[in-house]
Amino acid sequence: MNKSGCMCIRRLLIFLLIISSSLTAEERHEQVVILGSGPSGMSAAIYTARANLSTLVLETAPPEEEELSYVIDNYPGFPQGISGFQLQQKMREQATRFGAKIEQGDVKAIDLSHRPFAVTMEEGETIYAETLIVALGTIAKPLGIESEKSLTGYGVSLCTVCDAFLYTNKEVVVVGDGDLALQEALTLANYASKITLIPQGGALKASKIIQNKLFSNPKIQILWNYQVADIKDPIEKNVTGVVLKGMISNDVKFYPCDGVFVAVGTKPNSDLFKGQLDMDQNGYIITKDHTMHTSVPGVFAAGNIADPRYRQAVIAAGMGGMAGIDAFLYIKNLEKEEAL
Amino acid sequence: MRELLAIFLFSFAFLSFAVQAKDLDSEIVELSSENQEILFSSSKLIILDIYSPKCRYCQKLQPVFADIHEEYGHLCQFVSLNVREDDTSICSDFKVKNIPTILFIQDGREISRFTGLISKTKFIAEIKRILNEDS
Repeated sequence: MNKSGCMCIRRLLIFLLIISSSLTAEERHEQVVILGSGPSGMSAAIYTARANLSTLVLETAPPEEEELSYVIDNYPGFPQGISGFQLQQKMREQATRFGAKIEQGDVKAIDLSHRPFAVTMEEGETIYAETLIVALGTIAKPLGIESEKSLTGYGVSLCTVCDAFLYTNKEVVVVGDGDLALQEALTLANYASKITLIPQGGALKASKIIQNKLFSNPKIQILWNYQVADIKDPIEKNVTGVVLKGMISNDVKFYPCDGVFVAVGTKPNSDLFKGQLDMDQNGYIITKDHTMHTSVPGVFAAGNIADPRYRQAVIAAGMGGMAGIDAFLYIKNLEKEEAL
Repeated sequence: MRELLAIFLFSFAFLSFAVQAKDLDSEIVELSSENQEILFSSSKLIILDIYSPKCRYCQKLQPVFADIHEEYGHLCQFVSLNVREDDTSICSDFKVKNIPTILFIQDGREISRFTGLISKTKFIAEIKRILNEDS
């Protein structure tokens, strides 16, 4: 190859290098970034995408996987009920029809000190958002026992729907007294040989319809007035049973089982925003004056993360719609101010 | 012009070869009773994904597993096991009680595991840690 040919290729390579580096260095900028893809997040996305705002939904690790797995009987428009997964799927289709982008990824940090807000992903990318809608829902509350953490993955379950099959013909313990705990016990009854429900008290909080199903299942028994004090055996790295403490009798006993399913309630998934957004004492994000505005202008909250009272799919979807409208009005207002 | 064409053809041939070589390296082995020996006989670090098609966490982990396999398929042996069709005793042998579980196996012995959803960053950090310890 002659000298001029070499020079040409060299120039071409340098040009391509510059183009590619400028492309990779490009910052991502969205008018609306929505954290969470449950009913509130997807509903917000439908509103903002339909209003022609560039909308990105970040689907983080699913916090309410268990609840999504069961049939929702009280969501209007579905007379036969609909599974949480199917409902979410329909909402996704609706949001993407209007141009919303849905991506998976874990958020590492969020900076709300100035706008556009910086959302840094676990993989290192930073996305800049004109407005942010926080719809991260709630996450499962742990029992708070030391051995619970070390035995997660070794018999303490994170997901009944995933793991129930692995307990075919085995004996399991379910801890909790609400709808979710009873649903888990009923799911497990399709596989396990014996299920012991430990409500950690003397009564159930679950709805009557689920209680009746539970009482009529011969595989499920309830151990009243005992609390789980410990899970064995962290040294063996395998669940072999639970240590129970009597709430009335005060006696302590070992109760053998192969797996432990914890369903003692949920807490708002709001740790990322501690010190940045106003919250109540339990971590629920506070919204202002019958709107979805939070304490930071341009940041909105919707769904269970901002709802300590109702926590229903239909309410979350409604709050998502409100947050979408609030984000739209906020951006329009900014544009008007900039035009002046 | 002829030189450019030659460079293009050479690059194309080289890339085709590289892609083919990567493909050969990067097969994920689906575990069954027929081939479970691989867990005990492979000299490479085994990364075993234990999953169920019905588990949404497992579905979400699969693209992460596939991405990492693309990057580390030449250094590690990637294997997957569907618990619903499992005709081996791997789950009970390794005391797997929750899915998705990622087992890191060396010389037939578990050296580490992840349960539930994990990020690509954490997954890669663990592979690097194990490979660095070995070297």
